[in-house]
Amino acid sequence: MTSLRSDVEVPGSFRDPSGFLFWRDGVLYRQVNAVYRDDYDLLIGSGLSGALVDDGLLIPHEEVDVEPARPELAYKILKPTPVPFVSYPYEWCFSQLKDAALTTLRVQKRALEFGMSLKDSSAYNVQFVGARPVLIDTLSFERYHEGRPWVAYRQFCQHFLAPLALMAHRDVRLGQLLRVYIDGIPLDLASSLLPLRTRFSSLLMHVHLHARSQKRFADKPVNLDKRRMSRLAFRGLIDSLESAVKRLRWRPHGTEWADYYDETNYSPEAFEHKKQIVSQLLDEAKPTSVWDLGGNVGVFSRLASDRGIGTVCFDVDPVAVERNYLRCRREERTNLLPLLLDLTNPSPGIGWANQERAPVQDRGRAHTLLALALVHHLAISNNVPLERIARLFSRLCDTLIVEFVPKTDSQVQRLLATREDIFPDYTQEGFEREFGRCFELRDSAAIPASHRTLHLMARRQEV
Amino acid sequence: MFAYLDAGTGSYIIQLVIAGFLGGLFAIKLFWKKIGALLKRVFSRKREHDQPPE
Repeated sequence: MTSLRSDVEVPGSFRDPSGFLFWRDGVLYRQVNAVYRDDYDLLIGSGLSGALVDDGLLIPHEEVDVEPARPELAYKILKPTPVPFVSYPYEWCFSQLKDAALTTLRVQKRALEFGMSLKDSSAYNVQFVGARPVLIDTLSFERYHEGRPWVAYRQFCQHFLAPLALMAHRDVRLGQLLRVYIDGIPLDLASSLLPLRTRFSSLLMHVHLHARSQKRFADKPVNLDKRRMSRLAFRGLIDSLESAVKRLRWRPHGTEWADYYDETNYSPEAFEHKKQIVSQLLDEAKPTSVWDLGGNVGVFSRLASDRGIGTVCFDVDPVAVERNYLRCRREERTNLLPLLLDLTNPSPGIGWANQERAPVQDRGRAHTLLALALVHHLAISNNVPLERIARLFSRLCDTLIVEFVPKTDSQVQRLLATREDIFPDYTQEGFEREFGRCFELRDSAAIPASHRTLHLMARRQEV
Repeated sequence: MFAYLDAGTGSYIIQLVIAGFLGGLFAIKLFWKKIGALLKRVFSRKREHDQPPE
């Protein structure tokens, strides 16, 4: 599998024999195999690749003259423009998944104009550069043969339409089923979970009847050679899917977290003070990248993003992530990525050998971590000892900007209102002691008109 | 051409079943789009004519 050059093949890139991704000396390359030669030449020669790149729909790449990872299979080696942070569909909010679906269909429509078609429509082939979805798989195209149905129709319905319909019509949290089903939500499952009203829309065809048809013809040999699907019908199918996706809407309602800033005990002045202090600490830390954990709607992420720093804002609440994403889209931000993540149960490695889709902590690390108004939730609501919180943070970053909220604060009082206080070590001294094992304190500041403190810390080398 | 994905017999057949309907619907949509564009052109030309010369 691996050549002497210590190339590392990307574990999620083995299904399609057209080629694969590999790392060499910290650079990501894509090998195009000889078996894909005709389609690759058509993609480039027809002008489709250039048109898609110009439209911002396909990740740019350059052909490079380097030794292939597997020379016996190789046709070309490409060097794609790297994506700042790789994210997966179960980490996207509703509108991110919807925009990824619409991008896939836009690419398919454009491909048809150039006599090509998508041969897969995996949600994992779309990545976000800030608020902009972009197709990353250059090898997803094949020559369009008039008469043939869309080979990726099933995958599109499972990866996009079914989860979006479930999120819009049943419960937004059902998007998390994508974490269980790596090839999209089975259509019979989606059909049984969707409410009756979805049978009076185009979801009837694409999900309900589609699921029935799958069940009816499962394992039945059927000669499909004589059945044809005209180009007009093919375009009609893509158009119908596009309308179906566009009609799916989810309006975020207030949740505990989405209204968080309205309900915190910060006065507007104290909140402004906090923003000023965080800005100062960011200027002191000079980050090259920032992860904002528990970043809510991204108020503090924007302080980093406005400084031109690539930022990922994680939050557990789908409403907060949705609001953050919609705002990023309006602002056309390309360096802030909002993502859904439960820190107490982060995305694990899934798929073949648990390696196909990597756990979140294996997909990169931050120069600077923002953990603002977060530690008390982890320590008190989730019973995570301070020492473990510090250890996790030290694995994720070099520099930490962390807020400590003491027991005297009304938010912590609220968390303790319905439970016994079993946290004798949750004190300012305990916090400094435990975090001091992993980090060196560089700076601290009290937030005026509150009991809270902010700290800038650098990871100890020996940790 | 080779398809590395299993399109699924049921997923193929449902497309063939709904193809005629979707093709027809799409043809009507294209037709109305053309009519709409034509009307728009006619009216915008008329409006140009109606405008007093500067």
